[in-house]
Amino acid sequence: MILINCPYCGERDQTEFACHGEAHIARPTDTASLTDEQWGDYVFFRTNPKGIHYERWVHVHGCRRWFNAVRHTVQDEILATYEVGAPRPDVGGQQ
Amino acid sequence: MAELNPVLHTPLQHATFHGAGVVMGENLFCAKVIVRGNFDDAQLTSRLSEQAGLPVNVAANTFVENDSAAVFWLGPDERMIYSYAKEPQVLLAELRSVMPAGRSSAVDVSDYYTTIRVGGVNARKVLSAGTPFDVHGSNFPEGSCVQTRFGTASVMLVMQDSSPAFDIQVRWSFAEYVWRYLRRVAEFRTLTPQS
Ligand SMILES: [Zn+2]
Repeated sequence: MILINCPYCGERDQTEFACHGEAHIARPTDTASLTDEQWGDYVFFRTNPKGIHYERWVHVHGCRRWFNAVRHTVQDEILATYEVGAPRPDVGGQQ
Repeated sequence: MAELNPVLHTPLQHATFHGAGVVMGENLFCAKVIVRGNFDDAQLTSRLSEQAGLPVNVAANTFVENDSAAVFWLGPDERMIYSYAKEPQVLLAELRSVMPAGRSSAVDVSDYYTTIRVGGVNARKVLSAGTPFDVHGSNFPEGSCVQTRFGTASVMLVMQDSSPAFDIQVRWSFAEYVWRYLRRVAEFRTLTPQS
């Protein structure tokens, strides 16, 4: 059983949550001048790292709030959770 | 005000169950309104508290209750308000009258949810068979309410008193599922004390 620390509710079982992919991806503002390649990058391409990954999560069965998490994709360990809009937290320089 | 008829409008027709150290029953119908707004706004909070008859600035995962109402924390900007005395539309109108237009909302969800009371010596065992949340008294004291999972249903668990007695708030369409799940666990042989 993995516990995830919801920034609003505290530690809860992972089955209360859902992950929705990479965080900190801003929608382009100059959409009219974007090339197909740039649109493709925004819509389809993700960093897919082996190691530290910044992700969007939602506390589906709890407070239903969105938040971000830092997860290690090999160990599946969640190193930090933080509110949407907050900067990437320092997780000790791990890669 | 029209006479409130609490016998109507519930998905389980006030079913009851007694056995294996578990006492269960569906609670009477009551008015339920979800309020969303900025609860850091002292003016809004005090006006809403006045209408609800209880403080609405409750801490995370807690609730407050008196004979006529209850306020549950649902999120940093969201509360569930029950009234045991008022018609839903009356409660809704009273709350809306003090809320700034466009920056907050109140929605009548009286018919969207029902609550099931689970008590008795084996109540914790029955609950823990369906939820990943730790309902032990050290983690879930009186006055707590948490939104979690029971089976596949999203529910709000409410710690009413340490006798123990819990309320499970569940959506209408999942009420029968949760009720049957609870009964099935309560009737399970290993729950009864060995003779
Ligand atoms: Zn939460």
